[in-house]
Amino acid sequence: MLEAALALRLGALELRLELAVGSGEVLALVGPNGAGKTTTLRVLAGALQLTAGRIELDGKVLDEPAGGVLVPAEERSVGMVFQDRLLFPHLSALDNAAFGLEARGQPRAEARRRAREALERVGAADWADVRPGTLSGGQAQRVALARALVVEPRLLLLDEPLAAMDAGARLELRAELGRQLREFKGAALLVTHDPDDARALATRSLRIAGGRAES
Amino acid sequence: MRRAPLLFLAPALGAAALFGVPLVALVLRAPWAELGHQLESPTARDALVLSLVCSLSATAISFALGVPLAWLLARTDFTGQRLVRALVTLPMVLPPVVGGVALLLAFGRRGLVGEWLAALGVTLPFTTAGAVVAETFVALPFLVVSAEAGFRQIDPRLEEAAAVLGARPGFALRRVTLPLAAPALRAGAALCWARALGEFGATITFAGSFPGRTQTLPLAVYLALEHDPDAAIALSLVLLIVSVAALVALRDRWLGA
Repeated sequence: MLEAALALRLGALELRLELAVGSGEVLALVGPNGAGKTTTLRVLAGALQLTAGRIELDGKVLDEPAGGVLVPAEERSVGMVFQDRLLFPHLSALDNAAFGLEARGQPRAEARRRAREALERVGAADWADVRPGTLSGGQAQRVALARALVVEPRLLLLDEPLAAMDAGARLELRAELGRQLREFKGAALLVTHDPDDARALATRSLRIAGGRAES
Repeated sequence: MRRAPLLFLAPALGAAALFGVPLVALVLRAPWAELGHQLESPTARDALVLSLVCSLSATAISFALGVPLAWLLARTDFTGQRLVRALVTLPMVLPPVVGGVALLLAFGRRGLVGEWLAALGVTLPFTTAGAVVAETFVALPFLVVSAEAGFRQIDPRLEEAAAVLGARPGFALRRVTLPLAAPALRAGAALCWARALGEFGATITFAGSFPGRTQTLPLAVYLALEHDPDAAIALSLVLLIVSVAALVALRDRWLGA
Protein backbone atom coordinates (compact mmCIF):
# COMPACT_ATOMS: atom_id res chain seq x y z
CA MET A 1 0.00 0.00 0.00
CA LEU A 2 1.47 3.30 -1.14
CA GLU A 3 0.23 6.55 0.33
CA ALA A 4 1.87 9.71 -0.84
CA ALA A 5 1.34 13.46 -0.72
CA LEU A 6 3.96 14.85 -3.05
CA ALA A 7 5.18 18.43 -3.22
CA LEU A 8 8.31 19.46 -5.00
CA ARG A 9 9.72 21.94 -7.48
CA LEU A 10 11.94 20.84 -10.32
CA GLY A 11 12.83 23.55 -12.79
CA ALA A 12 9.61 24.89 -14.25
CA LEU A 13 7.57 22.01 -12.85
CA GLU A 14 5.67 22.37 -9.59
CA LEU A 15 4.42 18.96 -8.54
CA ARG A 16 1.50 18.67 -6.11
CA LEU A 17 -0.06 15.26 -6.11
CA GLU A 18 -1.80 12.88 -3.74
CA LEU A 19 -1.64 9.18 -4.45
CA ALA A 20 -2.98 6.07 -2.79
CA VAL A 21 -2.32 2.72 -4.43
CA GLY A 22 -3.29 -0.49 -2.67
CA SER A 23 -1.39 -3.74 -2.89
CA GLY A 24 -2.35 -5.57 -6.06
CA GLU A 25 -3.57 -2.34 -7.61
CA VAL A 26 -2.09 -0.77 -10.74
CA LEU A 27 -2.51 2.97 -11.05
CA ALA A 28 -1.88 4.50 -14.47
CA LEU A 29 -0.55 8.04 -14.59
CA VAL A 30 -1.65 9.51 -17.88
CA GLY A 31 -0.85 12.94 -19.23
CA PRO A 32 1.12 15.02 -21.70
CA ASN A 33 4.89 15.48 -21.73
CA GLY A 34 6.09 17.68 -18.88
CA ALA A 35 3.06 16.86 -16.74
CA GLY A 36 5.29 15.48 -13.98
CA LYS A 37 4.78 11.75 -14.57
CA THR A 38 8.43 10.74 -14.62
CA THR A 39 9.21 13.17 -11.80
CA THR A 40 6.53 11.43 -9.71
CA LEU A 41 8.20 8.07 -10.26
CA ARG A 42 11.67 9.44 -9.55
CA VAL A 43 10.61 10.97 -6.25
CA LEU A 44 8.87 7.75 -5.21
CA ALA A 45 12.01 5.79 -6.11
CA GLY A 46 14.20 8.16 -4.13
CA ALA A 47 16.14 9.70 -7.00
CA LEU A 48 14.60 13.06 -6.05
CA GLN A 49 13.60 14.46 -2.67
CA LEU A 50 10.31 16.01 -1.61
CA THR A 51 10.29 19.62 -0.52
CA ALA A 52 7.11 18.96 1.47
CA GLY A 53 4.65 16.14 2.00
CA ARG A 54 5.16 12.50 2.72
CA ILE A 55 5.68 9.12 1.12
CA GLU A 56 4.64 6.01 3.01
CA LEU A 57 4.97 2.45 1.75
CA ASP A 58 3.40 -0.41 3.74
CA GLY A 59 3.39 1.74 6.86
CA LYS A 60 7.02 2.80 6.53
CA VAL A 61 7.74 6.47 5.92
CA LEU A 62 10.25 6.88 3.07
CA ASP A 63 10.38 10.64 2.71
CA GLU A 64 8.95 13.31 5.00
CA PRO A 65 10.90 16.60 5.07
CA ALA A 66 8.89 17.93 8.04
CA GLY A 67 9.87 14.89 10.10
CA GLY A 68 13.43 14.84 8.83
CA VAL A 69 12.92 11.38 7.34
CA LEU A 70 14.58 10.40 4.08
CA VAL A 71 15.21 6.77 3.20
CA PRO A 72 17.83 6.68 0.41
CA ALA A 73 16.86 5.08 -2.91
CA GLU A 74 18.93 1.96 -2.33
CA GLU A 75 17.11 1.14 0.93
CA ARG A 76 13.59 1.39 -0.50
CA SER A 77 11.71 -1.71 -1.53
CA VAL A 78 11.08 -0.30 -4.98
CA GLY A 79 11.53 -1.79 -8.44
CA MET A 80 11.64 0.46 -11.45
CA VAL A 81 11.53 0.01 -15.20
CA PHE A 82 13.04 3.13 -16.68
CA GLN A 83 12.15 5.05 -19.76
CA ASP A 84 14.54 3.83 -22.49
CA ARG A 85 15.28 1.00 -20.03
CA LEU A 86 18.79 2.00 -18.87
CA LEU A 87 20.14 -1.53 -18.85
CA PHE A 88 23.80 -1.60 -17.85
CA PRO A 89 25.59 -1.87 -21.21
CA HIS A 90 28.66 -3.69 -19.85
CA LEU A 91 26.69 -6.48 -18.15
CA SER A 92 24.93 -9.48 -19.69
CA ALA A 93 21.13 -9.68 -19.43
CA LEU A 94 21.60 -12.16 -16.60
CA ASP A 95 23.96 -9.89 -14.66
CA ASN A 96 21.59 -6.98 -15.25
CA ALA A 97 18.78 -9.03 -13.74
CA ALA A 98 21.00 -10.11 -10.85
CA PHE A 99 22.13 -6.56 -10.10
CA GLY A 100 19.52 -5.69 -7.46
CA LEU A 101 20.09 -8.95 -5.58
CA GLU A 102 23.87 -8.57 -5.57
CA ALA A 103 23.52 -4.95 -4.52
CA ARG A 104 21.52 -6.18 -1.54
CA GLY A 105 24.32 -8.53 -0.57
CA GLN A 106 23.14 -11.83 -2.08
CA PRO A 107 26.01 -14.18 -2.99
CA ARG A 108 26.71 -14.13 -6.71
CA ALA A 109 25.68 -17.71 -7.45
CA GLU A 110 22.37 -17.37 -5.62
CA ALA A 111 21.69 -13.99 -7.23
CA ARG A 112 22.32 -15.38 -10.70
CA ARG A 113 20.13 -18.42 -10.05
CA ARG A 114 17.21 -16.23 -9.02
CA ALA A 115 17.93 -13.79 -11.86
CA ARG A 116 17.71 -16.66 -14.36
CA GLU A 117 14.31 -17.63 -12.92
CA ALA A 118 13.17 -14.01 -13.20
CA LEU A 119 14.29 -13.93 -16.84
CA GLU A 120 12.40 -17.18 -17.47
CA ARG A 121 9.21 -15.75 -15.96
CA VAL A 122 9.23 -12.85 -18.42
CA GLY A 123 10.28 -15.03 -21.36
CA ALA A 124 13.78 -13.60 -21.62
CA ALA A 125 15.86 -16.62 -20.59
CA ASP A 126 17.18 -17.14 -24.13
CA TRP A 127 19.18 -13.92 -24.02
CA ALA A 128 20.67 -14.42 -20.56
CA ASP A 129 24.26 -14.22 -21.80
CA VAL A 130 23.71 -11.41 -24.27
CA ARG A 131 24.67 -7.81 -23.65
CA PRO A 132 21.87 -5.24 -23.93
CA GLY A 133 23.42 -3.53 -26.96
CA THR A 134 22.36 -6.36 -29.26
CA LEU A 135 18.83 -6.85 -27.85
CA SER A 136 15.72 -5.54 -29.61
CA GLY A 137 13.51 -3.02 -27.81
CA GLY A 138 11.03 -5.65 -26.65
CA GLN A 139 13.74 -8.07 -25.51
CA ALA A 140 15.52 -5.34 -23.56
CA GLN A 141 12.26 -4.28 -21.93
CA ARG A 142 11.66 -7.84 -20.70
CA VAL A 143 15.14 -7.90 -19.18
CA ALA A 144 14.46 -4.53 -17.54
CA LEU A 145 11.20 -5.91 -16.13
CA ALA A 146 12.98 -8.97 -14.74
CA ARG A 147 15.65 -6.71 -13.22
CA ALA A 148 12.96 -4.68 -11.44
CA LEU A 149 10.88 -7.65 -10.26
CA VAL A 150 13.69 -9.94 -9.09
CA VAL A 151 14.02 -8.26 -5.69
CA GLU A 152 10.27 -8.69 -5.06
CA PRO A 153 9.70 -4.99 -4.38
CA ARG A 154 6.68 -3.67 -2.51
CA LEU A 155 6.29 -0.92 -5.10
CA LEU A 156 6.78 -1.30 -8.85
CA LEU A 157 7.28 1.76 -11.04
CA LEU A 158 6.97 1.50 -14.82
CA ASP A 159 7.98 4.51 -16.90
CA GLU A 160 6.56 4.31 -20.44
CA PRO A 161 7.36 0.59 -20.70
CA LEU A 162 5.72 0.28 -24.13
CA ALA A 163 6.99 3.43 -25.76
CA ALA A 164 9.21 3.38 -28.84
CA MET A 165 8.33 -0.12 -29.91
CA ASP A 166 6.91 -1.43 -33.17
CA ALA A 167 3.26 -2.48 -33.13
CA GLY A 168 3.71 -6.25 -33.06
CA ALA A 169 6.30 -6.32 -30.31
CA ARG A 170 4.24 -3.77 -28.43
CA LEU A 171 1.09 -5.91 -28.22
CA GLU A 172 3.09 -8.98 -27.27
CA LEU A 173 4.91 -7.09 -24.55
CA ARG A 174 1.68 -5.53 -23.32
CA ALA A 175 0.21 -9.00 -22.84
CA GLU A 176 3.33 -10.10 -20.96
CA LEU A 177 3.25 -6.98 -18.82
CA GLY A 178 -0.43 -7.64 -18.05
CA ARG A 179 0.38 -11.18 -16.85
CA GLN A 180 3.22 -9.90 -14.65
CA LEU A 181 1.12 -7.13 -13.16
CA ARG A 182 -1.73 -9.51 -12.30
CA GLU A 183 0.73 -11.71 -10.41
CA PHE A 184 2.45 -8.79 -8.72
CA LYS A 185 1.59 -8.54 -5.02
CA GLY A 186 2.65 -4.97 -4.30
CA ALA A 187 1.45 -1.57 -5.47
CA ALA A 188 2.25 -0.58 -9.05
CA LEU A 189 2.39 2.72 -10.89
CA LEU A 190 2.40 2.83 -14.66
CA VAL A 191 3.32 5.98 -16.52
CA THR A 192 2.01 6.16 -20.06
CA HIS A 193 0.70 8.67 -22.55
CA ASP A 194 -1.43 6.03 -24.26
CA PRO A 195 -4.99 5.64 -22.87
CA ASP A 196 -5.26 2.18 -24.47
CA ASP A 197 -2.28 0.94 -22.45
CA ALA A 198 -3.76 2.44 -19.31
CA ARG A 199 -7.09 0.64 -19.91
CA ALA A 200 -5.39 -2.66 -20.72
CA LEU A 201 -2.96 -2.72 -17.81
CA ALA A 202 -4.20 -0.56 -14.97
CA THR A 203 -6.95 -1.01 -12.43
CA ARG A 204 -7.34 2.79 -12.19
CA SER A 205 -6.18 5.85 -14.09
CA LEU A 206 -5.17 9.29 -12.98
CA ARG A 207 -4.76 12.11 -15.50
CA ILE A 208 -2.17 14.67 -14.54
CA ALA A 209 -1.16 17.94 -16.17
CA GLY A 210 1.12 20.69 -14.97
CA GLY A 211 2.08 18.65 -11.93
CA ARG A 212 -1.48 18.29 -10.64
CA ALA A 213 -4.26 15.74 -10.88
CA GLU A 214 -7.09 16.58 -13.24
CA SER A 215 -10.50 15.79 -11.88
CA MET B 1 38.77 10.29 -51.90
CA ARG B 2 40.21 13.28 -53.76
CA ARG B 3 43.78 13.68 -54.96
CA ALA B 4 46.05 15.79 -52.78
CA PRO B 5 46.52 19.31 -54.18
CA LEU B 6 50.17 20.27 -54.60
CA LEU B 7 49.75 23.35 -52.45
CA PHE B 8 49.03 21.15 -49.42
CA LEU B 9 51.22 18.25 -50.35
CA ALA B 10 54.56 20.06 -49.96
CA PRO B 11 54.04 21.34 -46.38
CA ALA B 12 52.45 18.03 -45.37
CA LEU B 13 55.48 16.13 -46.67
CA GLY B 14 57.70 18.57 -44.82
CA ALA B 15 55.86 17.86 -41.58
CA ALA B 16 56.03 14.13 -42.12
CA ALA B 17 59.76 14.40 -42.85
CA LEU B 18 60.34 16.41 -39.71
CA PHE B 19 59.04 13.49 -37.66
CA GLY B 20 60.16 10.70 -39.90
CA VAL B 21 63.78 11.56 -40.73
CA PRO B 22 65.05 11.73 -37.12
CA LEU B 23 63.37 8.42 -36.31
CA VAL B 24 64.92 6.81 -39.38
CA ALA B 25 68.30 8.27 -38.40
CA LEU B 26 67.96 6.87 -34.90
CA VAL B 27 67.13 3.42 -36.19
CA LEU B 28 69.84 3.48 -38.91
CA ARG B 29 72.58 4.71 -36.62
CA ALA B 30 71.73 2.36 -33.79
CA PRO B 31 74.65 0.08 -32.88
CA TRP B 32 72.58 -3.02 -33.55
CA ALA B 33 75.54 -5.41 -33.31
CA GLU B 34 76.41 -4.41 -29.78
CA LEU B 35 72.94 -3.36 -28.63
CA GLY B 36 72.71 -6.19 -26.12
CA HIS B 37 76.13 -5.35 -24.80
CA GLN B 38 75.22 -1.66 -24.45
CA LEU B 39 72.02 -2.41 -22.56
CA GLU B 40 73.82 -4.75 -20.20
CA SER B 41 76.17 -2.07 -18.92
CA PRO B 42 75.58 -1.25 -15.25
CA THR B 43 74.66 2.36 -16.05
CA ALA B 44 72.04 1.30 -18.58
CA ARG B 45 70.61 -1.40 -16.35
CA ASP B 46 70.42 0.90 -13.34
CA ALA B 47 68.74 3.62 -15.38
CA LEU B 48 66.31 1.15 -16.93
CA VAL B 49 65.30 -0.37 -13.59
CA LEU B 50 65.07 3.02 -11.92
CA SER B 51 62.97 4.37 -14.77
CA LEU B 52 60.55 1.47 -14.51
CA VAL B 53 60.27 1.80 -10.72
CA CYS B 54 59.80 5.58 -10.82
CA SER B 55 57.39 5.69 -13.75
CA LEU B 56 55.24 2.85 -12.44
CA SER B 57 55.17 4.44 -8.96
CA ALA B 58 54.22 7.78 -10.49
CA THR B 59 51.45 6.08 -12.48
CA ALA B 60 50.13 4.29 -9.39
CA ILE B 61 50.10 7.52 -7.37
CA SER B 62 48.51 9.39 -10.27
CA PHE B 63 45.82 6.72 -10.47
CA ALA B 64 45.10 6.77 -6.74
CA LEU B 65 44.90 10.57 -6.60
CA GLY B 66 43.75 11.34 -10.12
CA VAL B 67 40.73 9.04 -10.51
CA PRO B 68 38.86 10.46 -7.48
CA LEU B 69 39.76 13.98 -8.57
CA ALA B 70 38.56 13.30 -12.12
CA TRP B 71 35.30 11.92 -10.75
CA LEU B 72 34.76 15.04 -8.62
CA LEU B 73 35.48 17.25 -11.63
CA ALA B 74 33.10 15.30 -13.85
CA ARG B 75 30.23 14.62 -11.48
CA THR B 76 30.02 17.41 -8.89
CA ASP B 77 29.95 21.17 -8.67
CA PHE B 78 32.09 22.85 -6.06
CA THR B 79 33.41 26.34 -5.66
CA GLY B 80 36.86 26.69 -7.16
CA GLN B 81 36.28 23.79 -9.53
CA ARG B 82 37.48 25.77 -12.53
CA LEU B 83 40.59 26.80 -10.62
CA VAL B 84 41.32 23.20 -9.65
CA ARG B 85 40.87 22.05 -13.26
CA ALA B 86 43.18 24.81 -14.49
CA LEU B 87 45.79 23.91 -11.84
CA VAL B 88 45.68 20.24 -12.70
CA THR B 89 46.05 20.77 -16.43
CA LEU B 90 48.72 23.46 -16.13
CA PRO B 91 51.65 21.00 -16.04
CA MET B 92 50.66 19.87 -19.55
CA VAL B 93 51.75 23.24 -20.92
CA LEU B 94 54.21 24.35 -18.24
CA PRO B 95 57.88 23.85 -19.17
CA PRO B 96 58.91 20.86 -17.02
CA VAL B 97 62.03 22.66 -15.79
CA VAL B 98 59.76 25.34 -14.31
CA GLY B 99 57.82 22.57 -12.62
CA GLY B 100 61.10 21.32 -11.18
CA VAL B 101 62.01 24.76 -9.84
CA ALA B 102 58.54 25.13 -8.32
CA LEU B 103 58.84 21.70 -6.70
CA LEU B 104 62.20 22.75 -5.20
CA LEU B 105 60.67 25.92 -3.82
CA ALA B 106 57.84 23.89 -2.30
CA PHE B 107 59.52 20.70 -1.12
CA GLY B 108 63.20 21.71 -1.10
CA ARG B 109 65.18 21.86 2.13
CA ARG B 110 64.24 25.52 2.60
CA GLY B 111 60.97 25.20 0.70
CA LEU B 112 57.48 26.24 1.67
CA VAL B 113 56.63 22.84 3.15
CA GLY B 114 60.08 21.28 2.81
CA GLU B 115 61.10 22.39 6.30
CA TRP B 116 58.05 20.69 7.79
CA LEU B 117 58.79 17.55 5.81
CA ALA B 118 62.41 17.66 6.97
CA ALA B 119 61.22 17.90 10.57
CA LEU B 120 59.24 14.72 9.94
CA GLY B 121 62.36 13.12 8.49
CA VAL B 122 61.13 13.19 4.89
CA THR B 123 63.54 14.43 2.23
CA LEU B 124 62.32 14.67 -1.34
CA PRO B 125 64.81 16.68 -3.40
CA PHE B 126 67.62 14.63 -4.93
CA THR B 127 66.10 11.34 -3.84
CA THR B 128 64.31 8.57 -5.72
CA ALA B 129 61.08 9.64 -4.03
CA GLY B 130 61.72 13.12 -5.40
CA ALA B 131 62.07 11.70 -8.91
CA VAL B 132 58.71 9.98 -8.45
CA VAL B 133 57.14 13.26 -7.27
CA ALA B 134 58.56 15.13 -10.27
CA GLU B 135 57.24 12.50 -12.68
CA THR B 136 53.84 12.49 -10.97
CA PHE B 137 53.68 16.28 -11.20
CA VAL B 138 54.16 16.17 -14.94
CA ALA B 139 52.19 12.99 -15.76
CA LEU B 140 49.14 13.26 -13.50
CA PRO B 141 47.28 15.73 -15.77
CA PHE B 142 47.18 13.18 -18.60
CA LEU B 143 45.39 10.73 -16.36
CA VAL B 144 42.97 13.29 -14.93
CA VAL B 145 41.99 14.70 -18.32
CA SER B 146 41.40 11.25 -19.80
CA ALA B 147 39.53 9.94 -16.74
CA GLU B 148 37.33 13.02 -16.47
CA ALA B 149 36.32 12.63 -20.12
CA GLY B 150 35.62 8.96 -19.41
CA PHE B 151 33.36 9.72 -16.44
CA ARG B 152 31.57 12.47 -18.36
CA GLN B 153 30.52 10.18 -21.17
CA ILE B 154 28.70 7.85 -18.77
CA ASP B 155 24.96 8.56 -18.70
CA PRO B 156 24.36 9.79 -15.13
CA ARG B 157 20.96 8.13 -15.24
CA LEU B 158 22.74 4.75 -15.21
CA GLU B 159 24.16 5.66 -11.81
CA GLU B 160 20.70 6.79 -10.70
CA ALA B 161 19.29 3.48 -11.96
CA ALA B 162 21.89 1.60 -9.93
CA ALA B 163 20.81 3.40 -6.75
CA VAL B 164 17.11 2.81 -7.43
CA LEU B 165 17.89 -0.89 -7.98
CA GLY B 166 19.41 -1.04 -4.51
CA ALA B 167 23.10 -0.21 -5.01
CA ARG B 168 24.87 1.74 -2.31
CA PRO B 169 27.30 4.37 -3.66
CA GLY B 170 30.32 2.08 -3.25
CA PHE B 171 28.62 -0.80 -5.04
CA ALA B 172 27.44 1.45 -7.88
CA LEU B 173 30.96 2.82 -8.25
CA ARG B 174 32.50 -0.65 -8.33
CA ARG B 175 29.95 -2.31 -10.58
CA VAL B 176 28.74 0.48 -12.87
CA THR B 177 30.83 3.65 -12.92
CA LEU B 178 34.34 2.23 -12.90
CA PRO B 179 33.69 -0.58 -15.41
CA LEU B 180 32.05 1.88 -17.80
CA ALA B 181 34.98 4.28 -17.42
CA ALA B 182 37.57 1.48 -17.66
CA PRO B 183 38.69 2.12 -21.26
CA ALA B 184 39.29 5.80 -20.50
CA LEU B 185 41.08 4.92 -17.25
CA ARG B 186 43.31 2.42 -19.05
CA ALA B 187 44.15 4.93 -21.78
CA GLY B 188 44.82 7.63 -19.20
CA ALA B 189 47.09 5.34 -17.20
CA ALA B 190 49.05 4.33 -20.31
CA LEU B 191 49.48 7.93 -21.40
CA CYS B 192 50.43 8.97 -17.88
CA TRP B 193 53.00 6.18 -17.69
CA ALA B 194 54.52 7.04 -21.07
CA ARG B 195 54.82 10.67 -20.03
CA ALA B 196 56.38 9.73 -16.67
CA LEU B 197 58.86 7.41 -18.36
CA GLY B 198 60.09 10.16 -20.65
CA GLU B 199 60.20 12.87 -17.99
CA PHE B 200 63.42 14.87 -18.03
CA GLY B 201 63.24 18.55 -17.07
CA ALA B 202 61.36 18.42 -13.77
CA THR B 203 63.28 15.33 -12.67
CA ILE B 204 66.78 16.67 -13.29
CA THR B 205 65.87 20.00 -11.66
CA PHE B 206 64.19 18.61 -8.58
CA ALA B 207 65.89 15.26 -8.12
CA GLY B 208 69.24 15.75 -9.87
CA SER B 209 71.03 12.99 -11.74
CA PHE B 210 72.54 10.47 -9.34
CA PRO B 211 73.18 7.09 -10.96
CA GLY B 212 71.03 4.43 -9.39
CA ARG B 213 69.00 6.92 -7.37
CA THR B 214 67.59 9.61 -9.61
CA GLN B 215 69.24 9.07 -12.98
CA THR B 216 66.34 7.78 -15.03
CA LEU B 217 66.64 6.69 -18.68
CA PRO B 218 66.16 10.11 -20.28
CA LEU B 219 68.80 11.62 -17.98
CA ALA B 220 71.16 8.74 -18.72
CA VAL B 221 70.64 9.30 -22.45
CA TYR B 222 71.44 12.98 -22.18
CA LEU B 223 74.57 12.41 -20.09
CA ALA B 224 75.81 9.51 -22.19
CA LEU B 225 75.57 11.52 -25.39
CA GLU B 226 78.80 13.40 -24.57
CA HIS B 227 81.14 10.53 -23.81
CA ASP B 228 79.42 7.43 -25.19
CA PRO B 229 77.07 8.24 -28.10
CA ASP B 230 76.43 4.56 -28.88
CA ALA B 231 75.09 4.01 -25.37
CA ALA B 232 72.89 7.09 -25.74
CA ILE B 233 71.48 5.77 -29.02
CA ALA B 234 70.86 2.34 -27.55
CA LEU B 235 68.98 3.80 -24.59
CA SER B 236 67.04 6.12 -26.88
CA LEU B 237 66.01 3.12 -28.90
CA VAL B 238 64.61 1.51 -25.76
CA LEU B 239 62.52 4.61 -25.05
CA LEU B 240 61.38 4.72 -28.66
CA ILE B 241 60.27 1.10 -28.59
CA VAL B 242 58.35 1.67 -25.36
CA SER B 243 56.64 4.73 -26.85
CA VAL B 244 55.64 2.87 -29.99
CA ALA B 245 54.32 0.02 -27.84
CA ALA B 246 52.22 2.49 -25.84
CA LEU B 247 50.89 4.02 -29.04
CA VAL B 248 49.99 0.60 -30.43
CA ALA B 249 48.24 -0.28 -27.18
CA LEU B 250 46.19 2.91 -27.44
CA ARG B 251 45.61 2.84 -31.20
CA ASP B 252 41.93 1.98 -30.95
CA ARG B 253 41.36 5.08 -28.94
CA TRP B 254 43.39 7.68 -30.79
CA LEU B 255 44.19 6.42 -34.21
CA GLY B 256 40.76 5.02 -34.90
CA ALA B 257 42.25 1.77 -36.15
